[in-house]
Amino acid sequence: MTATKGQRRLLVTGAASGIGRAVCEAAAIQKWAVVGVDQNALELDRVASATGAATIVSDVTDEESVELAVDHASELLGGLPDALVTAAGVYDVKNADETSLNDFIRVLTINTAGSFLFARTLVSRLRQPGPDPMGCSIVFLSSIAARRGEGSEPAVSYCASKGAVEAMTRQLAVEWAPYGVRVNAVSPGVIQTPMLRLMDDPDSGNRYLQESVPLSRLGSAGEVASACLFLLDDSSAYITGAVVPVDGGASAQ
Amino acid sequence: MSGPGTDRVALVTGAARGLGLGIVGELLADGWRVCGADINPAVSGALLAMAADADPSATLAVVADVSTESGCADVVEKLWETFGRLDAVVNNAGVGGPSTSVHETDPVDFNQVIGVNLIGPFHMTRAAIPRIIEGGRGGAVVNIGSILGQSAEAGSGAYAASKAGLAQMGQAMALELAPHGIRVNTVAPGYMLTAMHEEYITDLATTSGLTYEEAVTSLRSSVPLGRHGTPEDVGHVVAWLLSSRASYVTGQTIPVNGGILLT
Repeated sequence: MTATKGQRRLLVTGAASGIGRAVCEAAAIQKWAVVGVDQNALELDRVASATGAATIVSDVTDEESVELAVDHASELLGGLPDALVTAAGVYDVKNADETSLNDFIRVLTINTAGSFLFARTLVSRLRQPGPDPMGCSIVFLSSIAARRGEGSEPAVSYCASKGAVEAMTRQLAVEWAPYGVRVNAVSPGVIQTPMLRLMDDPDSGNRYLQESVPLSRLGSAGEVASACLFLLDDSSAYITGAVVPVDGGASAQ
Repeated sequence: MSGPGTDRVALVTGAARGLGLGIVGELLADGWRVCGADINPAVSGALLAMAADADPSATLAVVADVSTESGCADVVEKLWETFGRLDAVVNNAGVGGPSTSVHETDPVDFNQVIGVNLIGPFHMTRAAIPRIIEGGRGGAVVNIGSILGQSAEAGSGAYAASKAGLAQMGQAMALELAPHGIRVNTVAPGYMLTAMHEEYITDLATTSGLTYEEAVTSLRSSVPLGRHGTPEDVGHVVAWLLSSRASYVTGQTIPVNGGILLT
């Protein structure tokens, strides 16, 4: 898995399923060296055999576990990652007035603090004095839920966690630009992943797609992964602090 | 040559220099065939030079005033005669305009900025979009907006209004054209190394009593990434938005500004 000279070194969290897995697949096609992180060792193994990615089982909410994961990833890749996608996340559909403090904090901890921990650990390692200072590009996963309320599928903790991810994207982009670190977010709409609840009732799901998504279809995890790779590579060299919606136009209406 | 744009045809306005020429270069590199339009006759030579390494039959230069209905119709007609298909439009042609306060701006100057930057893309949409719909293969439009279309500053009234208007027109088009599989997005550049921006720096230096170099340094220090953008920076993003890699992205404004609006 050790990267060859000039090869991109990518660390992906939430790599065992959905968007994280699709990012591993897309990067493998581009011949990037990839390490996937997830809690689910069994599914992670499947991603490894399908994509050739190296894997690390880790808990994104545990500071020590994250630091060990970043250091282990650097060993596997033959150098610190120069690209990070934090796709680990949970979606807790629940009425707001029935959401406990523990429910709320759990989602914020995984979705927001987990993304922060990986980004901070990576950038603090990059900042350590060395002969060859390098930058990196970071992509966080936001959601259309950061900007839109939703009556039929309430998830206040998720909305808050993704709104915080967007604010964090802007702050870290400014703070880390002098280090050559770009920080952006992708904001998916309704995407065909295991997290999707919309199509549990196919009739109401299809009605939603016709009424609320201009392109009238679900997005694929691969389409979100394409946007992640665009923001990681040099095609987006002058973009930082941006949130790129990948939602079939849902946020445009 | 194979790439995301193979066999497909894109129309780029304002193609003789600056961002437009940079966009042409990236699209050619991606395998597109490109029609470049400009009021400046230098567009022919510029496109030929840009296509040096590519198949010369992959480009068509048309000298036309794309702020007019007849100019836009003429470009689309010539493009159709040559290529017989159209898949993408990049509305890039634009002018900088006056740096006066709105209440002191000559109506002729105001109208000229709106005419080129907003009404031109309107005419081009009417001329070009029916051809893309006719093709039945879907397509994509990118409008070149500006940071000033997202956040105005004193002395930018006409330009800011034209670019904000263009972004909103693009959002409406995205909703209208989604059923035809045509995606519409805006790219909003920040400070770019182009002739138009050099005029802006010269104005800034004059009004603030700085030398040209001091004005450049002052502008760069306001950009988190610490540099000006290049036509290639914008060209890469346009090429991405026009490609199938952005197949679920529509109705959006993508900022290409080094983070300047964050602080």
